[in-house]
Amino acid sequence: MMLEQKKLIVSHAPFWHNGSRITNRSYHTMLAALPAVLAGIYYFGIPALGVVCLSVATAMLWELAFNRVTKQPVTIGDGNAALIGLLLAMLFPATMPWWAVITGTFIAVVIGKQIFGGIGSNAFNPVALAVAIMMISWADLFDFDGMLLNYDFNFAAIYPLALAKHFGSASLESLRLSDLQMGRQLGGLGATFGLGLIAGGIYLMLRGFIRWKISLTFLAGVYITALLFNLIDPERFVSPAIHILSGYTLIGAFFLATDDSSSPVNATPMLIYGVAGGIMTVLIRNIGAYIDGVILAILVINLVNPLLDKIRPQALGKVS
Amino acid sequence: MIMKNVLGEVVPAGKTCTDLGVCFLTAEAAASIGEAFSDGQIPVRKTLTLVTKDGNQRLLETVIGTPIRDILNTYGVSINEEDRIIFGGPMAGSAVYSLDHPVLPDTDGIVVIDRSDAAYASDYPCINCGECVRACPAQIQVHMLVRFLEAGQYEEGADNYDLFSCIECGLCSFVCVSKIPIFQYIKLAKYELDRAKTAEATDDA
Repeated sequence: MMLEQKKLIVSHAPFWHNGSRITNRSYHTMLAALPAVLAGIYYFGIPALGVVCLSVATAMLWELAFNRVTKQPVTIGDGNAALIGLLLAMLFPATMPWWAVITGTFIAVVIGKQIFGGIGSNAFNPVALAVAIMMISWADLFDFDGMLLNYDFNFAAIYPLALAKHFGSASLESLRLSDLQMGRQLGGLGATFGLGLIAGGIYLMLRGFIRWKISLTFLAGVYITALLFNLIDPERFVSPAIHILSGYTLIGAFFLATDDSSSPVNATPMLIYGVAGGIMTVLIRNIGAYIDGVILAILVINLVNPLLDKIRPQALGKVS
Repeated sequence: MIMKNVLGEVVPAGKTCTDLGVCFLTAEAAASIGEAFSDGQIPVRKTLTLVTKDGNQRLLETVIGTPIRDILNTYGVSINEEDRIIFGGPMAGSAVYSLDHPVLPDTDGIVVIDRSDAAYASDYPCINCGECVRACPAQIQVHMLVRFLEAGQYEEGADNYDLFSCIECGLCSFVCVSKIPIFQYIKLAKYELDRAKTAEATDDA
């Protein structure tokens, strides 16, 4: 009798799964970022496409190399390295030199993610870390006015934030908000198409891949702080709408601040995290030393993230 | 959870509902007890729900002790290698290893899952997405707890991360994006801590 038994698998409960996987998250996030990338390629041409391809490819290669060197199973299949490559490319100017792209992906993937322990263990957003280190080491590479000098655009080819910082708001009179929304501005190759980024962000929030509490509070923080500064001194400080639509604000709110490992898990910490990020961004932009504060603001809130996460509801039946 | 929502009393971690003087019965159990009183004999028939591979549910009544093989043959459910037959529910039930396993007095449901539909676990690390924390009805910081349990530090998990507040619903493993077998780690931790406690108790005695 025993010999005729069919072998059944005895595994542990639960026996169903809702089907969510890391690959889903990575690829849907890349899909949401695609409109902005396509707009960047449209405006900035083939060099932008080159930077994107090189960034994604080298990010995956660095992760593969690290996996091999540390004799661990290969993890590039989960799409996270490719996503890091894509987001990094979106923050670069379209004419980024190839050696800078490769260095950037090295810092993001190897130093920003793998050394901390791989996916899930990174304390800082890898993309933000890489851009911050490069901004400090090679500041010229992120001077968008200089990097994109050889282009011939049919729109006002200035980096709004640089102009705002050095020359005050009068210099931005000629800038129309619709131009900023449609991507007719200078900036990172994937960070200029405002409408595309907002659409991508809404898609990700609706699908549940990113948390709306973080994105919306970040934008609210930017808007309200910029509004306060603008009300105090309209000459020096530009309007909040320009702050939201230029620089890395939108890509920071939807794609960078919401990175799973470096952002909080509980509801109240998410709200504090987002607002603090927004406030920091505008403070750095208006009265700090850097032209765009999003990257550094995100690193600062990543730093306080574990502390914020301690604000949490008590477990059921906890006896203290 | 029913205790908390209906009666308004929260069971402290580490105690059971019966410690507080509350006992839960299924409707069928109450009916069986009533029948036993009126018929004057111990209940031998059991009503249960059979869920087949295509998701159809059937309510059937059978004698306690019937092998599962007979029930499946009656309904024409074919079993292949590596399928799962689960006594209980799909979230917190137990898989059986043999088609000759009998129906027991506490079997309220039998679920048959085809090998291609069953959930598999993986050894991927936690990505801190927070789905488990949002899913947990007991508001445990599941992502932190599972790290300690994976490392085998059950004591610390129990002391600092509310291991014993877990109501064992299985939702955490259901939603985990990395497919970590969280529920299994939790049950293992509770079992190991219980074993250590009884070992201590017998050592002292």
